[in-house]
Amino acid sequence: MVSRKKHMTLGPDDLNAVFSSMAEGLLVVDASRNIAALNQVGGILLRVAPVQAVGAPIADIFKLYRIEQNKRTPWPLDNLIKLDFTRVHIWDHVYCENKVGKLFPLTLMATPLLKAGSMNGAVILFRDATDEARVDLAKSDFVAVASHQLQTPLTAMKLFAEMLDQDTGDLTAQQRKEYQQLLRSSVERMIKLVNEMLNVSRLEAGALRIQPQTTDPVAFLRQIIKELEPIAKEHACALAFVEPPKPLRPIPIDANLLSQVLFNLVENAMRYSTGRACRVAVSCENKPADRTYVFRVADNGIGIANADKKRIFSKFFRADNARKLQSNGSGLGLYVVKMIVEAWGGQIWFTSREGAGSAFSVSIPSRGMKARKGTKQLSK
Amino acid sequence: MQIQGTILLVEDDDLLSRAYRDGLEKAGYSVMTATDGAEAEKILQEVKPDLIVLDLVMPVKNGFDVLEDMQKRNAEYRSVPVVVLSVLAERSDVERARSLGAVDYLIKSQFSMEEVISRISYHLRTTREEK
Repeated sequence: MVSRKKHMTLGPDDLNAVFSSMAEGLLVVDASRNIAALNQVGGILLRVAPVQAVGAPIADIFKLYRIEQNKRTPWPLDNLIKLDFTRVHIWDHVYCENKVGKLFPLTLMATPLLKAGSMNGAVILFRDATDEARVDLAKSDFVAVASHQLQTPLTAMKLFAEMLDQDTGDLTAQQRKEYQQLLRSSVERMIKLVNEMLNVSRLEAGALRIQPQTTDPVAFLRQIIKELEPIAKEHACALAFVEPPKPLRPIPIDANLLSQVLFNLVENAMRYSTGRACRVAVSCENKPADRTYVFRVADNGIGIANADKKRIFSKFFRADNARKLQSNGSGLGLYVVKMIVEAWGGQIWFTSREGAGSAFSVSIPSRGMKARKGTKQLSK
Repeated sequence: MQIQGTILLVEDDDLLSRAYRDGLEKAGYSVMTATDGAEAEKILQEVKPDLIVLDLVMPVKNGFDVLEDMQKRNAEYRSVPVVVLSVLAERSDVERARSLGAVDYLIKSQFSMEEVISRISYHLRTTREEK
């Protein structure tokens, strides 16, 4: 004989407990469009006591809207009442105004209430979708800003190509060469921008691969400085490596990631020093009290205005003085740098005075970077 | 070649500024350039161009602010036609620029150099005929 374990059977009181325990709002509406039931979560979201809601017309309690281009239009409740009973109905991007006037996005799901084979109203599940709406907005903002950023080099490419293409012999050989170079600069700018955007999406996906190997930080920095020297020359910049007073113990470092961060910081230091006697100093020291190694890039460039300091690591942010000096820039560099540093367990900070220069510091735990089996590597 | 008119080109991107400047000069216009709205206004205090080509997204002072300030100036400056040349393609941006007095709104990626020049020359002609 098969033994059956005792199981819970639900009576009417237990069903109330189930309704009350649900994480979503539950609303039952009858065929005359009056509320037949509302659970506690629903009451909290709509700011109405469930007992008071029961019997009230749904239109009084459940005020729904669509919002398009900042314009609010009522969302017809007929959508919830006149249901096709062969399927579940789900709606996103519907807004609800609750009893205290708060407007928030909802995700709604409705099914017909069937009794004795006929439709007697509807069962409506709903939840606050504020977080999802925020993510959606961030995504669409990214697409809007990204497409704006991409259009500038694309337009430049188009214009220079057109000028070369439609030349009927007016251009001198030197002008032709110059336009070809400008076309190439536009393409390179575009490639850089696309790579930066790809890096952002890889980092935001949280799947960055970190492969540390025991590395002598001082030898590593000497190498980096050597690689940066041609760029320093281009910018007529004096690049110096300030060696630490004591040798540093080798620690696990992902050389690709650290060099990407340092390249970015040093290039920024040089780019935003143009027109001055540019000096950039790179240093590294052990901070035993904080159990970190700190790498520092200091410059005597244009600095960061106090008003811009809070936003300097924000995605796509470019300070006015930086844009004025270098129109070309995505506003993604420092955002990417911060994400990389935080991924390896470090921190990034800066000190700066407008017109006097900036110093950016990044830390690595003195035990080294922790390996991470991510799937993504970054483009340079 | 005879100068067709003086144009103030306000564009912060160095590559685009170079391209539009060369294109306009080749078409016979004399071109002054500014890299942001504040620089443009400084030039406008000294010189009155026949037409302004104005970008919108710029550092220091953006194109909408320039349009707003031009509205507040005397009638002589308000009569300078402004052609907006921007990557912004939202209807609300077009409507805002138009309401602030821009005579035309060209979306950069959608117009070739030839088309930009032809629109500019049309507005210069119309402004001259109205005078």
